Amino acid sequence: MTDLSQFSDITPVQLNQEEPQLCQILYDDEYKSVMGILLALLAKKEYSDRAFELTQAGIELLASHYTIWNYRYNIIVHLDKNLYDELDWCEQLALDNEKNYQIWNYRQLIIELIISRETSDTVKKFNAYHEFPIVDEMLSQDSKNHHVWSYRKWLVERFKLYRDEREIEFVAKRIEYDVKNNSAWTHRFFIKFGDEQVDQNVINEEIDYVKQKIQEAPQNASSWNYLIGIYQKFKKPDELIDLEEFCQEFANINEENVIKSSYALELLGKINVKKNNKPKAIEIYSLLKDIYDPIRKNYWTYQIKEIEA
Amino acid sequence: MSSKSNNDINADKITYLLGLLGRNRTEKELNSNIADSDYEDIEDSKMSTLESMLTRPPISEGTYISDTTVAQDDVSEVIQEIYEDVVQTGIAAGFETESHMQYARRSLFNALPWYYRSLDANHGWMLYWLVNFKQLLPTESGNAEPIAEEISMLVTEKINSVIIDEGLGGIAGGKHQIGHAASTYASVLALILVEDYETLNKIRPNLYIWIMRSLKNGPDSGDKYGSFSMHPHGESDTRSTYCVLVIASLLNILTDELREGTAEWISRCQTFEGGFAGVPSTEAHGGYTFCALASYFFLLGKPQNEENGELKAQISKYIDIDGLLHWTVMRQYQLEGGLSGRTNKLVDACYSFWIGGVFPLLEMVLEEESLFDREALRIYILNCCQDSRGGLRDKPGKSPDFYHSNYTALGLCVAENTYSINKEKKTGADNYAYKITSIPISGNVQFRAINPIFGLPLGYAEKCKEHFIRLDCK
Repeated sequence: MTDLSQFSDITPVQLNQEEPQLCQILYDDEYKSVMGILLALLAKKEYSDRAFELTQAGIELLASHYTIWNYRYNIIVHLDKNLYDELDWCEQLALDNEKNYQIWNYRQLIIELIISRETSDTVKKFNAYHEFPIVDEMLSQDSKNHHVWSYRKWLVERFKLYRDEREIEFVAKRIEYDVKNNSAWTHRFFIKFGDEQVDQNVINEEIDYVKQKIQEAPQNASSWNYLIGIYQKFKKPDELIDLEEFCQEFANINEENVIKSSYALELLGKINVKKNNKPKAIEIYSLLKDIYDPIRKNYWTYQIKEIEA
Repeated sequence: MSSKSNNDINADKITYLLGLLGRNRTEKELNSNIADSDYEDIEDSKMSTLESMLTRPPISEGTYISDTTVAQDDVSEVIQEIYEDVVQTGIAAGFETESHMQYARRSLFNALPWYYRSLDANHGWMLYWLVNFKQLLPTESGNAEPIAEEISMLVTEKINSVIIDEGLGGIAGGKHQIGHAASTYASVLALILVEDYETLNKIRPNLYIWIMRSLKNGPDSGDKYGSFSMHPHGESDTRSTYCVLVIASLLNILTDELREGTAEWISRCQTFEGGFAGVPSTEAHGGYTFCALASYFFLLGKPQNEENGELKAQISKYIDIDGLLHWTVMRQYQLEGGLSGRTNKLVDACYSFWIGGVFPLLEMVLEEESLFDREALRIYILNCCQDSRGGLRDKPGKSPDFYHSNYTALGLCVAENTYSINKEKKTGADNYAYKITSIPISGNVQFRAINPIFGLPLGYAEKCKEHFIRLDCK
């Protein structure tokens, strides 16, 4: 139980406790007192150490309580708290609350605050690498955690980590570990191309890299999306035709119909549309519709109709 | 630290659930999917869809194994067993309307045990999810039943208790909390369901001030320009942006000033995969994709020449429709029939709406009748997502909750109807969101149409909008 003795001067506010009410929650006593006091302190805008400490208890009771997070942030600002200590505290909480996203938005706010307080005399400037261990740890628990990946993307953007060696190594490891981790592929796309600098070498390297990953697991939407994504962003529409031979490795429709990847077959269809080989494209989309991807029969029918139009 | 351990929580949950059942059921009964009495003979069309779902396409997949493949195989195995059972016995699950109605009622009216404090910042959401869920359920007459006076009164009371400064601070997730765009959105929808236009009218001018003063990211906010935040210092993403647009449109306060920069900002959230992310360059995701696409129905100009393809032409100025369509159709899975939220992630019934709801929008844009397998989605929901205690769930093995109940039921409303823009419809609204019409799919269907832009039964958003347009004309 949280020690509330130092709040005897505060009358807790009533939570949603009136009766009758829809969706009435039977709050336990601890929750009622901690939240009741916190929200009372907030109402009188008390920015104090005791309030600061109590926000921890509140957040531990309900990590998705955005009002308490917001309150804690305002206390931090008012009391000029040590921000690195705050990051440490936040870290522990993140580990205990995998799915919570308030934490990550809060962490961004704290880091922005650290940076805004830095002056030209600040000896130790904030280093983005400070954040790597916690992100790694979180992703080892849940490798596709959307909020954690979004946070990592923010770090790259905020600290210009595009094509940073450690960043590339980190994401390569994630893809190495699970080539179907789409979050990792999305992040890779961003660190390679997110700053819109077009370097032909990087583009070619990435095409080679993803082709190799497709060899590893051909029936993988993530790697095919990455490949096609690069072509769409950096190549002329007709250049997609260059991939014909590569696709045929995984979708041989000329001989004995050995299909290792429906995505390769689909891309072959698209390539034939680009080549204006309509009968071939229709044949491929029909194969997808009837045999290789029947759950999307309406979509393939639509594609055929579009070609015929 | 919390004084209750996880074991306590589980023990409390079990006691609570048993209490709801009114008696102590055996474990077998608890685990069985649907009460025997409500099985129904399977129709021929459903059987052929099921057989097709169970036929594995002849793709010589490699031997690659990872966390993703293991998790997928686990789910496939369970679902395959369920479907094979249906094929063998010839009986499939019907929709357990009565049991779901009970779930909705007791969730609204019975006090919820302490661990529901996890929803203490979501009071408006609970009301929207549950009142909406209840209103979506099939009725014997086929027509919607009016919402009971008792519910209307209590919805009004509760929402009024979380309005901050008569709307100048938005609507909060609970008493004494701060205003939040998503809470405001959910609360506005709840008020619209009970047709409490009086409360809405009272706070409408102040909500506009709140949005413009506290939520809008203006030209000086850099990369965020055009988006809206959930609250000051809160996150800004496609979800918060959609919430604000819905509120503003329904209350007829959507000015050009409010939506300045928004269409452009959202377009930046489309990823190389074709779907939309919460902010530019993160991963394409079902929930954010729905919010992004639905937002355009509020952002495009007035319908002008009403020619075929006009909506598509307008929306194509901002986003890549073909890419979005491709990403969206890829969310449906061959065996499961249900929808996933991201590439290489598992099926989850809540995406029956977040992705399922994108389909009617795309069908309206492209003027197509049906771009996905509606029957397969129905099969997934009916056979895998109903809990014997009432309520709908993510997938077999998961517990039902308010959130999944609402969005899964909305998914059935999508699957059992087709949607289009009624160009002839006279409306005072200056956009397409209020010109939607629907036709039930052929066959034995029960679920009435929704307005997929809002996730409300068809008619509620339209009525509210007309009300405020009329009021503003005076």
